Order: sequence, then structure tokens, then C-alpha cells
Amino acid sequence: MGIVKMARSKWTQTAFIILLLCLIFISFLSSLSLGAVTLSVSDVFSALTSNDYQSLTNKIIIELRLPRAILAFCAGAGLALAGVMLQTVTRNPLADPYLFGISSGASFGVVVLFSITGIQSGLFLAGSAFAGSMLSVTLLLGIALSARSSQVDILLLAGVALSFLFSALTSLLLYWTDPEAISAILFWNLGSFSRADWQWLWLPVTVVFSACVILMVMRRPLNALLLGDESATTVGVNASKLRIVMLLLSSLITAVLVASCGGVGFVGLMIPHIVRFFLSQTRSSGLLATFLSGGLFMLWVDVLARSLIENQELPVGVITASTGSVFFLLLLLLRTKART
Amino acid sequence: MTQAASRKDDVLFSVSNLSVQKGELCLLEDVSFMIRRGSFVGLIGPNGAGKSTLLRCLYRYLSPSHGEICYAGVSLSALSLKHFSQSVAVVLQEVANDFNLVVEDVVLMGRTPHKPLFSALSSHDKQLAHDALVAVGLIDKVHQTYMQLSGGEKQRVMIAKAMVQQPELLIMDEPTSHLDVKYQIQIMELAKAMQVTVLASFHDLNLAGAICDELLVLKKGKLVASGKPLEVITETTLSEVFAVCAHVEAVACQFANAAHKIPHIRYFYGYR
Repeated sequence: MGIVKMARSKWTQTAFIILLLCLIFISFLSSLSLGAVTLSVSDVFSALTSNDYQSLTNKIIIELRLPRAILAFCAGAGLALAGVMLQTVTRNPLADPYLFGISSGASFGVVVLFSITGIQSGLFLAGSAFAGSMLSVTLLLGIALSARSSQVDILLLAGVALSFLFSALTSLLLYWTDPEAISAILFWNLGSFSRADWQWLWLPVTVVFSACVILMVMRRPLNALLLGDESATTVGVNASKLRIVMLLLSSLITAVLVASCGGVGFVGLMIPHIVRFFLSQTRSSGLLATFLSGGLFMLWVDVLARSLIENQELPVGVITASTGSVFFLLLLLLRTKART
Repeated sequence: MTQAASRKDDVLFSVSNLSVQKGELCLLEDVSFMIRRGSFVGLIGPNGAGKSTLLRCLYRYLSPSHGEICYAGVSLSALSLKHFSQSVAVVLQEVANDFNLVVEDVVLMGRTPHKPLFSALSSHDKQLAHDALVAVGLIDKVHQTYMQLSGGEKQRVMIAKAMVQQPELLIMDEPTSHLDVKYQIQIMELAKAMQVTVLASFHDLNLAGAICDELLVLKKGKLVASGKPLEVITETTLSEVFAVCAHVEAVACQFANAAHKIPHIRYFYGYR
């Protein structure tokens, strides 16, 4: 049993959160010191506290690594939250933020912009990625709103269909445009935190943290959906309305994150499941732990992406999917063993 | 005037001229009845008669095409869903769930209508959940995963969830189908022990006749009979509504007072 026993008492739940917070603090420091140039922890501290922006060490830490680390944390935390929301409102443990064609919508936006104007980087690209993902979300919400009964099934099927539709359109455009566009698309499909900068960091930070607060407040009605729409109605929750609100919120998180760091897969699917092994998502501690674990995981993914291969950066999505799936399979195995 | 007012106060649910249409199909047609406070009302009828549709209208999952439903004298359209769910709890068939919920989590969901958005679970909520689980005999499984329970246990968890909702009316949609005889009786006795008004649909007519104070009979979306079990469960109703041949006898209920008689049905076989 050991490791995979759920934490019941209030004390263990609090201990879990405190442990996560400590780990996040340590990870932030490590993330700032590790990389192409390894810096000491005291360098990190002095850079964080000093007003000298001229020295190279300080520049690396403040201008390159700190915004990256913050963006990575937000991306992980935000995707994990979006994953919890979508899994809950669809009652499908396989739901993930990209299930509804949000990232293929973003790729589509990027390709359209690239094939029309030739722009390959910058704000316009992020903007078009955002526009593309919002387009697919709008279509999806339109479909969800028109289907009051069996909304869940229709959402899941429509999401998959939209996802394929946008992928097909993207492939079609790619077929006609410059082969260079393919590398730009690859960025969006695999994700990277290299474009993090202070100017635009406020957007993902605000969206992700306010979503966390909203989710904490709405956790009771949200979790009531777990036993079905009918059961939710009987405890006073308007299921289809709540589902639309949550869908909108999770899409907003995902679209903002896709625009700032590309489509980092697997986190939104996996983190909520891992946390669910230990803490119940009906408690505020469970949701908070999901938020923190997502951020913690992504901090280390970013460190690995920067330092695994010298002078080269690995795509984030490759690391999340490979490490995450192995860890996930291991936990699954442990749990089945504990049960028998 | 006062008499009229007190009689009005006595009625918990009043349904008048309720119809539900789905496209061309008429699921319920012109159904009217009343449920008195404190009564145990059973809803019976063959498959597809509209029992679930009627209950869904009452617990507001469906909105009727015509007619009006009033709860304690107030039209449902004038009552907020949250407010309504503070006084009406519903026990439904179980729904599969892969989210690793434990029994306590499921029971505490019954507190949802009573909790403002920002509040945490209080010790009062936990005490209610504890008491409810003691009442349904599952206190030793409080931390067990809900999906690992047996069918009867899951249904008892659902009763416990309804208990912590502290309703004045309990609605149950075939709470005992698929359960062993022992649990069929146990679930009904748990509902009775809550001492609230109960409206439940039944498959087992003998059980319905034994437990209920009053029965409503639906056939093809229409209310064809209502009244005390002995008046409703007759050989005629059984053949006309349920299309079976049976012999009905009024027997004294051994465990209640001897004057209280309940219908006892014996079905005939091989007559076709």
C-alpha cells in the first residue's frame, strides 16, 4: 500500500501542500542556477536582491531565466488546472486541454499568418495562435450550447472532429507554403519557453492564478458534476451552464498558454491523475496540489530542456510526454499491485 | 379560510395538467396529482410508462411542455434551483465514476446546496456525514473508494448523501432495482426512517404495496389510478396496466398493527 495510500486527515493534506511548496521553492532556485552556464545559489540570491542590471550573471538570471521559470510554472499549473476542469465537466478521465482542438486551432492560426505574411516570430504570431485557438473554442461552444441533452458526448465527439479538421487545414496550407513554415509549426506543436519575456508575462500569470482562485471557489458545484448531470441538478447545480463556464475558462487558460509557449502536451492529462492517487479532488487541498504539482513538474521539464544537450534546447513537449508517461505507468502499476 | 390555508400547507407537491412532449412523442399527458406532507408515495407502471420522466420533471432535470408544478404552494419556476435542492433530495441510480472518490467525498456532496461558495467544510457537515453513514451501516467503509463497493452499498451511500442534504422531501427513481431482496427492503426502511415525505418509483409491486401509503399508476404517460395500495393494486389494474394475470389478497402486515392490511400479489404463469 505505502506510497499510494490516499491522504485522509487534514494534517496529512496540509503536510502534502507544505511539502509541495518547499519543493517549488527549491526548484525555482535550481531552475535559476542550472543551464548552459551553471551559477551558484549565492549568485542567484545576489541577483534577485541587487539592483545591478549590468553584470552578465544578473542579466542571465533576471532577464533570461526568471521569466522562463515563471512561464514554465504557470504553464504547468495552468494546464493541470485546465485538465482537472475538463476531466470533471466531461466525466472523462482521458480529457485533456488539447482534446478540443485548441492546439490544432493555434497551429492553424500560425500557418495562416505565416502563409499570408511570412511572419515567423513575434507578437503577431502569438496573437494569431491565440486567435486560432479561440476560433476552435468558439465553434465548440456553439455546438455545446445548441446541445442541451447528452452535452458531454457531443462535446467529446465534436472536439475530436474539430481537432482533426484544423490539423487537416494546417497540413493543406503547409503543403502549399514554404517548407520553412514547418519549423514554426513544430514549435507550436512541441512547445518551448524560450520566448518568455517580462513584457508579456503578466498575461499568463494573471489568467492562470485567477483561474486557480475561481476553481477553488467553484469546486463544490464543479465536483457535483462527477456523479452525473442529473445528480448535480438535484444538489442545486445547473450542469450545462456550469460546463460552458468551465469550458470557457479552461480554453482561455490553454489558448493563452499555447500563444506564449506552444502546445505542451500530456501535463494536463497526467498531473490531475497523479494527484488523484493521493488527494481527493473534492477537497480544496486536492485542487491546490494539482495546481502546484503541475508547476513543479514543468519547472524541472524546463531545466531538463535547457541542460540535457549542450548548446541546444530540447522541445518541452518531448520531455513532458516521455518522463510523464513513464512515471504515470509506474504509479498505475503500483496502485494495481496495492489493490490486489 | 384557515382550514383552506392549512390544507394548502399540507400539500408539498401539487402537479396540475403536466405534459411532456419530445418531438412527436408524448411522454406525459395531462398528469395531475398532489403529494401530502409526511406521506410515502409510490409510483408504479410498466416500462416506458413515463415514471422517470415524471420524476425528472419534479426534480427539475426536465422542464414540462405544459402544466404547472408547485412545491409548497410556490411554482417551480419561481424557486431557485439551489433553494429547491435545500429541501428536496433525490436518490438516483449509480453513475460510473473513475475519479477515485471515497465514500465520504460522495456523501459530503449532499451538503452542496447548503454551502455558500467560499465556505469550507465545517465540523457540522462532517458530523452529519458520520451520522448518515452510521445510519446506513457503512461507517467502517468511510474511506473506501466508492467504485469498489457493491451495488447495495453504493445505493446506501446515495441514501446517506440524501440524508446529509437534510430534505423535507425525498425522491427516489427505482432505488432498489438490481439489488438483493434484503437490500430492497433495507433501502426502503432507511428511507422510511428519515421521517420525511417520500416519492419513489418501484418495479416490485408487492414491495410498493407494502411500503407506500399511496400509489400513483402511470400507463403510456397517463395517470390511470391513484389511491391507497389496496384500492389501486387490484386484479383489474394488474391486467389492464401491467398485462399480467394475478390474484390479489389483502393480508395483515405482521410487523405493523394488525388492522393495517396490504395487498399481496400472486402472479399466475403459463396461461397464454
